[in-house]
Amino acid sequence: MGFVSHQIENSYAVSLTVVSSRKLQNDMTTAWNNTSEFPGCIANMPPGFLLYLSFTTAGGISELHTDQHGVGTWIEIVDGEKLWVVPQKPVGKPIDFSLLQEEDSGKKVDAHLLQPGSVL
Amino acid sequence: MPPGTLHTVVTTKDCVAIGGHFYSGHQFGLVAWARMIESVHGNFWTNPPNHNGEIFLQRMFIYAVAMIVGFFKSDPDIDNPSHQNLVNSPYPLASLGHLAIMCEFPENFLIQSGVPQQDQFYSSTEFENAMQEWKSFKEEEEDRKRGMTVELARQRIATRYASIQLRDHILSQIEQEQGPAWLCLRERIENANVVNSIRRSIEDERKGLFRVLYSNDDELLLYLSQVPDEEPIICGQGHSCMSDAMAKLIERARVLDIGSSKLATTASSPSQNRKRDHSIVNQYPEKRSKYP
Repeated sequence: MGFVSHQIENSYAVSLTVVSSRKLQNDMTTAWNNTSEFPGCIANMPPGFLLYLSFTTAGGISELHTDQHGVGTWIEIVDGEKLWVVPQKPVGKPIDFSLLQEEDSGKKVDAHLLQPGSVL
Repeated sequence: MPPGTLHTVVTTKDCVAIGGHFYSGHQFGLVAWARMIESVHGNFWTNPPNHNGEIFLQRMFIYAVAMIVGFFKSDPDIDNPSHQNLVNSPYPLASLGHLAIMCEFPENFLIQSGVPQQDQFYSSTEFENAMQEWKSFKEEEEDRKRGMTVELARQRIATRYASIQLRDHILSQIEQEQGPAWLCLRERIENANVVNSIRRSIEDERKGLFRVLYSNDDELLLYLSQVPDEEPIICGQGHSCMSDAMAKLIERARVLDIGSSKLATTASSPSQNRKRDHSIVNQYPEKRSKYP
């Protein structure tokens, strides 16, 4: 996994991540920082929630699921590729959950090929 | 991705990625919706557990209450009544109502593991006892038994305190306010639990105020709340897991005898029952765009 350490040291990729994560997590960090001195409130932010680092070998498949605790999720590819598949969602309409069950039905899903620099 | 988005991922090449999770103050309705589904299907449905989500929800709730009630003494106009108002909420009121429910009754959103069981918990005396115990500030003792940290227990109590502050504040000022969103928020907090929130969600949806069930689409939520005359949109119902989850949620309400027939028909045929009460909607047209 030599390419891993090389890419993690790539300051450009890391800086992109910092910017995008700060935007998305603004509500959370604002709330946390403004209440950190309140009675009873935990001072140190627990690790492993705001940010995660994912190492995956080729061929790995994550079956149909949602992310736990009702969280929103973002991901940025540093190196390699991921195919991110979600049921197709026309603008203004809800997800049709039958899309991934029926083969050859003519219905479609959105598949996003994420490559280095891609942010979902 | 917004909360509750179904997805599957295939890694086509060895991959390194950086990512993160977040809560948006505008999407707690979707968070509650996703967590209700999780509470039925547990780890069948979602990623491996991350137990820190509740901590952040509590902190966002405490922050919202602090903004509303006026905990921040650094505010130079803290004595100004307009600064001690729900208008100061950092999140939309509909979203704040869902956050309040999640923080007020965290037990209702616990994730069940393994095969989904017949859910009789909400109709049992065990449920009533658990609620009573929770209201008696026994979290700290219980959390220690479960091996949770003392810090988390303390924060839960702080969250409870914030909840009481918010409830008192709303009840004292609610009569001065107008608009269906205010009334719905009051009712949600007064009668907060999962069953009531489901019922309220359906009723609100029929009034054209909110849309919580059948959708994890924030654009649609905004759309339905702002265009009362548009034809209702029919939702897909093909996914068996989702259908089972909805049936389970409806069964909870039926067991408690909360408008069961109305709930069942509304849930199974949303397109036939989503006639909105325009008299209510049009009564406060200027307010609607503020509370998507």
